[in-house]
Amino acid sequence: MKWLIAAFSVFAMVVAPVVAHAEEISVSVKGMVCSFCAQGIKKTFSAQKEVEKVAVDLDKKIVSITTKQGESVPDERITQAITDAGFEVVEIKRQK
Amino acid sequence: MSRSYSICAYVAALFLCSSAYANPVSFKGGYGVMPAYNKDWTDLQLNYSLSNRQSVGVSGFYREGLNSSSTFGIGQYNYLLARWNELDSQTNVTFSLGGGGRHDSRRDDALAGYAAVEADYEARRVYSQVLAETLQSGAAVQYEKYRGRVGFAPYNASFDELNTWVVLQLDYMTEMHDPLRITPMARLFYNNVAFELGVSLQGIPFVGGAAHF
Repeated sequence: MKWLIAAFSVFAMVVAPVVAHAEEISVSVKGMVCSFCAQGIKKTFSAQKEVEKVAVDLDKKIVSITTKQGESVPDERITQAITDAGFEVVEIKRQK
Repeated sequence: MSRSYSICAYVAALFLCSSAYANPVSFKGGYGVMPAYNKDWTDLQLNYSLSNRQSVGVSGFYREGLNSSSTFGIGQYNYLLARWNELDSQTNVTFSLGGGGRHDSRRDDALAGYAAVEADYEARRVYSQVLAETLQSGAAVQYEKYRGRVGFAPYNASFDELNTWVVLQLDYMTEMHDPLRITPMARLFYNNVAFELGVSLQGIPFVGGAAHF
């Protein structure tokens, strides 16, 4: 039994980091019509330690956030960051 | 927001009174630099945004008027009175108030005040702005500037591309040698830096810009 628990623990330690996916967050934003004005969004999210990559699509009015593996950014923080940049969140979608 | 509200916001932006890109209020914690140069007037504004609604800053203004030339140093507070965010547009109305001092070529130095109201409407390919601004120092020194702008972008630029705009600027400035100036210009911006270059119908060059960081 002890041997089984030890084996499972080692397995969990090896496998857990591999299955901890990055999160793809898609934020629909109102008022984002100009790249110069939207620089604040990129700057704010890029400064967050959980965030790996930020991309802004002005045509689709979407901010795409890719987190680091195993990390997440709560909706409240996303909404606050978009609001602080002067814009309005319409919808937040998540995909692992 | 309803369509009628959007139309009202646009009309307000047109008739109330400098630019979304050069708005004195940017994002929370953001710094802004806005220089503008003309033959007989120069502006330099530095702002720090306390929030998405308020910023503080310092500005320097130079005006070469009919009777004398004046340099103003102004401490400034800017407040975003209203912002309408739509999926395809944004509209802003900003109020600025400031105080400081004036140095004049022909008069004693004196205290000075500054006030401005500006509104802008911007979509992906269309842009307009109106501005009313006054610099006052005593009864004898009073510079007023009224500005209207319309612009269009010949193509839809993505976030990481060079954005190009063609803009027509109309300035009416009291106490100046050529009070009315109509200036066609090119406005370019890339990432956090904007640059403007134009020549008025009288042949007077205009150079402006802005950077947020």
